[in-house]
Amino acid sequence: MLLSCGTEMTEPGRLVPLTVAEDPALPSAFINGTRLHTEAFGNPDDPLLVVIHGGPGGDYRSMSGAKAFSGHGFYVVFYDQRGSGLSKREPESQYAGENAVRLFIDDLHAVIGHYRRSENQKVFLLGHSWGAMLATGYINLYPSQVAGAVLAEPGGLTWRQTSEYLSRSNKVRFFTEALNDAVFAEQIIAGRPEHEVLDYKAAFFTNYENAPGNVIGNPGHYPSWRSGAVAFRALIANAEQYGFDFTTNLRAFTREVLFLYSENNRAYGASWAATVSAPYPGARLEEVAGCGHEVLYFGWDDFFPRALRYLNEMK
Amino acid sequence: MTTKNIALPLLLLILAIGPAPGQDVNWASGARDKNLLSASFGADYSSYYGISYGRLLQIGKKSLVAGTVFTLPFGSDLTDDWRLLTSVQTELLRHGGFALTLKPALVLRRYESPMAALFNVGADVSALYGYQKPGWGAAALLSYDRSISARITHRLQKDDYPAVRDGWYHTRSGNFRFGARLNYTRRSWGMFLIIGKHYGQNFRDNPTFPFFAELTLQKRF
Repeated sequence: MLLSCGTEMTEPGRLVPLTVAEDPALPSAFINGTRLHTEAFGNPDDPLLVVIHGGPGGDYRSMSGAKAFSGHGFYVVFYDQRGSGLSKREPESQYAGENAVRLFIDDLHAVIGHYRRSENQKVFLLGHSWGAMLATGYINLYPSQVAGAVLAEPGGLTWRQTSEYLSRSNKVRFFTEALNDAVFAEQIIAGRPEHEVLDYKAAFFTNYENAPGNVIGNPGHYPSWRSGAVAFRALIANAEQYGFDFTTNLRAFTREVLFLYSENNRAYGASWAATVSAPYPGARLEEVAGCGHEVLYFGWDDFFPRALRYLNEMK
Repeated sequence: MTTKNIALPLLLLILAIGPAPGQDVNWASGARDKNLLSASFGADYSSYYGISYGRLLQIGKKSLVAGTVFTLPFGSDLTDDWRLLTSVQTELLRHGGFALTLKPALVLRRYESPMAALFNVGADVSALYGYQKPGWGAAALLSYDRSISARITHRLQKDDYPAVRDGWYHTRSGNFRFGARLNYTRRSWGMFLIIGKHYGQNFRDNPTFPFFAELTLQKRF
């Protein structure tokens, strides 16, 4: 009976939410050759504030509180990155080759182009973790296009820095429940190549980063839509192979950048924030109290006034 | 008290009272004790420890060992994750000191985390081919662990995605294991060391920790 009963794990919508490719009711836009899950809040003529989530492979659900900036004179744009969240899944081959990271920068450029009403409309970037790295990659390429940026705990601005940070933040703790919760299920959901299955299985890894006593200081689970497992795996492999350096032209960006780190992330801290932010001529470092790495979700009460103050100064 | 704190004394206790290996068997030992009791620990997906019992059976001229291995990963929740493997094994071929052993098994597993709980039914088949003397042996190991079906009960994932549905799902895929086994036997005791690497069946979607290792101590009586 066990062999015959049951449902396919790949049946749309059973284990992971439908993407914009499967549910036309979801807000989306066709951008740079793919369909992205995207929303915008506020007056379209206000300065643009583009919210860039972490991962790679994460989504903007835990950052959705940032729509509050729309009540303070910003046109707030959210999007799930290529192959992530509720955006359309894309084949792994899209993330191969030396230009894979550039593809994500091009997507961001196209998102800005999609929502920006005029050349005079200022553009601000709000990035968290990998999203802050991606924002830096964009600034490095288009320094004159950005009026300011709020960057929350980018792991590093080069692959070397990032891998050093990951070795601390993802340090394996043998003999722990957190490790079982992350990997034991790999013998049950094993060797399946379908993206829906990989996305579902990837959600179990959040058990590790959010487990009690975790290094990055998260007090528990935070909401997300879907782990973009293929985008994550492929981009990490790509970075290991080709590396990246988002700092080569950062000296051209002389505006002040608000660079935030959290009070409780033991893998980050003030010294790492100083190291990572050093290539920015105008980095303003501030600590967000009462939270770990998920700054915008768990540290919102302290984050929001800091970010708003900065954005109003730069507006 | 953490599971680690419980598990290590438990393992020592098991060893002290004379238990033994998993389902590992040295067919060339010459001994035909009826019972095999084992204790093992290792790393495979996560770190774990386990006990096993096997019974030597004679069916006609054929010797078989039927037995069960129960393993628990280390961790603070003692019984939320476990694996129960029930197998029958026998030597299929022998020429000189070389032998081929086959071990088909039924696998039951349970996994629980803040996200979801899974109960799994699977099958495993292992083949060992190598040189086996009465006191020692070395063999190559090939196995395939196929997950067939899993009952999934969601927890935190329901918060993230309320439409997620509990129930039985076809898992229908598995992992290969390639490795080697070394064993040493003295009187009624045996020790087995297995090391190797595992892959997803498509050799692309592989487990996070690709290597496995297990050390087993066995008592025959």
